[in-house]
Amino acid sequence: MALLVDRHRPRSLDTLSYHHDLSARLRSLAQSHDFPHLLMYGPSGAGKKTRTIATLKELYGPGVEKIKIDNRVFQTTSNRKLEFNIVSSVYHLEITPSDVGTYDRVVVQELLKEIAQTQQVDLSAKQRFKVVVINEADHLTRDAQAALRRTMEKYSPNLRLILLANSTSNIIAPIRSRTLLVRVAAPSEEEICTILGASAKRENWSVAPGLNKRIAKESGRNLRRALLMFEAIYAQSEKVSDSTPIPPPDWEALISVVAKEILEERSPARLLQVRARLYDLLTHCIPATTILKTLTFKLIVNVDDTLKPEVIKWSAFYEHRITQGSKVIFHLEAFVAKFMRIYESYLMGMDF
Amino acid sequence: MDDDEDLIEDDYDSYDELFTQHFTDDNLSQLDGTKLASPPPARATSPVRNAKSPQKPASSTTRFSLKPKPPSGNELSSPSLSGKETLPWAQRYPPLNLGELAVHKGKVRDVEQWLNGAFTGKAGRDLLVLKGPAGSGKTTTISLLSRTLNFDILEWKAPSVSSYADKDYVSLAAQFDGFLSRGHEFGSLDLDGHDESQIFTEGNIYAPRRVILIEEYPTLAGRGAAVLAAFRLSILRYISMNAPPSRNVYGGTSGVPPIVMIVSEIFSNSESSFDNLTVHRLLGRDIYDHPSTTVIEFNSIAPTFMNKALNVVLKKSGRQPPGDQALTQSIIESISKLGDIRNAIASLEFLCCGSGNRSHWSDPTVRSKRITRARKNISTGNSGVPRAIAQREASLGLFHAVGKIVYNKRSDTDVEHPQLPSPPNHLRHLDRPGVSLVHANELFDETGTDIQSFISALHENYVPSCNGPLFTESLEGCIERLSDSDLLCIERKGYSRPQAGLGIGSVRWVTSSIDLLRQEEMSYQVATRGLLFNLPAPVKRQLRRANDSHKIFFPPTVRLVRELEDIQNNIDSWKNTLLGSALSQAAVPPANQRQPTLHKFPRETRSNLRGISDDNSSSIMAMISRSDLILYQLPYMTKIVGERAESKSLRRITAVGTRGIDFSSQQDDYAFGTALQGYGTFRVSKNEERGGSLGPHTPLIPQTDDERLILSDDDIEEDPA
Repeated sequence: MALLVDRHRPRSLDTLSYHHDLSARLRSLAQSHDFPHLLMYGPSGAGKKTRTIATLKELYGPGVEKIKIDNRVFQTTSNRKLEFNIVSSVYHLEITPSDVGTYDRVVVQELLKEIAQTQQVDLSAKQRFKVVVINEADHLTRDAQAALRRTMEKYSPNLRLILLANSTSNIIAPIRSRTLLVRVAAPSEEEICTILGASAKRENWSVAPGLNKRIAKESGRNLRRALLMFEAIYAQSEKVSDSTPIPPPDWEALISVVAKEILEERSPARLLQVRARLYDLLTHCIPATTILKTLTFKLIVNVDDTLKPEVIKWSAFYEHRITQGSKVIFHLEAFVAKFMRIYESYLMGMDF
Repeated sequence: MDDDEDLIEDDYDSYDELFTQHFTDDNLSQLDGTKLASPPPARATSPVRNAKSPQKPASSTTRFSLKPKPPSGNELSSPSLSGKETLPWAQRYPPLNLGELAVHKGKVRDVEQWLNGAFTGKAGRDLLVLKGPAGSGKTTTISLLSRTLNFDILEWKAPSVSSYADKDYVSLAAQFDGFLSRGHEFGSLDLDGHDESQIFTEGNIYAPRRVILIEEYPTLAGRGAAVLAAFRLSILRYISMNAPPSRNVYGGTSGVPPIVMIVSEIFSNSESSFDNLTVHRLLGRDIYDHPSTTVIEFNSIAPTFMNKALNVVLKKSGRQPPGDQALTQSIIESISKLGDIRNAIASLEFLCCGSGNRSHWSDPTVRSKRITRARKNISTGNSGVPRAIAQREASLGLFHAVGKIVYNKRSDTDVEHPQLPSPPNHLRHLDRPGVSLVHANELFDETGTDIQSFISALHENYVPSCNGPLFTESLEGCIERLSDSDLLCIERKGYSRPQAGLGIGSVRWVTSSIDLLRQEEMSYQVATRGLLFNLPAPVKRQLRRANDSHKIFFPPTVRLVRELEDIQNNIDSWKNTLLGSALSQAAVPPANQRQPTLHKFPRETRSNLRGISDDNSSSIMAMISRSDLILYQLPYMTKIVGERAESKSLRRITAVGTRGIDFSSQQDDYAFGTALQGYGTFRVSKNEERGGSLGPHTPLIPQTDDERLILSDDDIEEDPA
């Protein structure tokens, strides 16, 4: 499936369309003979991965684009088999250890050791080391991060790591101190508009500047999302104008419905109804924290200013509980009940 | 076959005199009628059957041709039974023909057609999976069909664990693989020439058609993962081997016997998914989605069919439960609601046994226990007798306990505790009328399930109890305490990231077992006492539908887990597809030459796709993080792809909220809820208030612009191309 977002992905540092400063720095890093471990962080859809791939190309030349997918199986100490996808070229390899949940330590240790113990095979390679790109590094468990830290020390001649993360807050200090921190900020709305316009031109689509502006706003400065929305709109409607509606993903639409229902009526029956919808979202693998966050933001735009701090407070409270507890539905429902109570008290003119 | 029968009969005669005193005359006459006695385990006679028991009783004479297991194997489970006992009714009076079979005729026809197709060599008929709850007649259907369609059943029997204790588990997998290939070889040998088949006929092995039956599976938990992988591989290899070209060599006759798998799906309520046996988990998506695989789902047996079947069994046995004809019918009727026919027949047998004054139980301790329980049930009221016996005990305990909590009985303040001190002024809002009459500590032993399932059940059922003017407060108080108790439970996720889903993938903290017990108990105490404190004092349960308000529901996790797994499998396969398709870009013409609506959508590739992308491929492959995939990529892809056939599975993932709101009422198909309606001890006898705070219910889904964007399955049309 060739989506716009994949087809129009810039492939070298020169073709990147924003953060030119950063691109220049990455280029000089790649050209220097002292490439450090990198920790690229920034919000999703900011272009971390694109930048990483472009940097790799700068490091090794077009050979990095010759990739293959491996399906590896790891065995844990408790004899569980873990299936795991690896994308690799001769020079680099890309993994997402958080896919295997709490067993990521096994994968990180086994895999990195295996790679680090063998030297670069290709003698004509520009660099002596291989690069391992680790996606979602901030979702690694502490154990895995500790294992990573050891590996970085031990095998640095043969191995460079590029960690990709949304924020550095979940990454342990020893790793942060061993890597060069590179922040990739989200593109500004104007930059997104420019990119959308360029994409439309490449596809020979009619350009609607007003629509692009709205998409840029809707997307929350997430370029991936903006491009997906953009393509969805063009795929769905024959004629695109400035006022073409932007369809939200189904899950988001459902959360808006939930928010509306909660505001409309507060009763036990309504709570049951909301519960059913929450179950529906959860079974569709929508992360509970995303549900809570989206719901909160949909709710607070419709409540009085005096209520907002209270709602945010409880939302934060239960988000913490979701990550701590095991039955997420309890905590989501508790937030809904809490909101119902706060809102009801407010409507009746009582303190909350 | 004749030899076997004789052997068993001789065997039986030798024990006959020993047990004469235990059997009444008519008992003996029945036994003479059924000569195929084999030693049953003690639990087989109990009304509560262990649903997980992998050994299904053979319920048709075809299967009795297999040698009965030596008695030594059963000694552990029935130490008190030194010799042979009568067979339980479920085995003694199996349905003799398809007419007597209690399974829905449509299902039987489906299976029959499939088998016929498989025997005549239709493509894509290599693996039939029959799934359904225990006691829904899956095995019996196959064995009866084996007689009508005239085929042999080759059953896989896992070797006993003891003989393999010293070897690696994988050897079991190797055995299974060997079994499959042998089954295959026999099948093809039959077709090679008449001479060989002649030989086999003399050896009594030859059969024109045969089916490989698999009922025993490797364990899915922890250590068994390797076995499971090997098991899947064997199956996959087998059904792949049976590809269409090889069939045609034999001119329409199937060279390879089809596999029939019978899976009694087991769902334990704890969300840690290892204990659950589902077809998905057993087979994995490769086999489940394989074109040669057919899945037929059996439902619990409908009361009308069950009623008929029970009457047939009763007639065959020539016995009567106590009381007159009308009572018998009412008993049968209530047992019919069970849905599990094996269990129902066992219950019926138990009722009939209890009737006579003479003992039919060889073991006095077993008898006394049964009888005291029966007595207890009788004392609760005559209509309670069959229900109490027929009910699965665990569920009974669970619902009973949940009912006690959510009805929150409190003492009458004025009468019993007149001098109860009230709290000081600043705590006045915590004042509650009366003392709770629910003994939470004693209830702890009566929950009937594990604590976490109990708490889930409380969560499922507390809402209708929160009525009255202060409902927001009680709702909030209740759920807050449940949330607290969840934090205290042992299945905490710890510091790992929140997983998508219902909390699956949680890791138990490794602490000493006594701590775990204590922690469970704390979690329980917080949940129950928190609910008792926060629920309004006289509880008036109320819901939209008047009937529902007295029902206690079973936690929905069971159903949801199945769905969640399905979707997770789907997402996994899409993730791989996306990765794989990026590789096959080289074949696709450059992007800018195509119209926006004509995206080529590569055929779904399997997970192991390997290849090298071309230098001038139009896109660079990159892994997408799972959350990005779920939240943005797939939903928008659904919209981009539009109404094409490929998008069906996409839509399965992304279309939320299409199911409408009657989510909670779907639970009606859970027999527990309905069966418990009107259970004496916690039914509120007063008429419920009508037209209270709940007005007439308006249409539930407001028609917003957003709503229209959600596509339902009905909108999907198959692409003819």
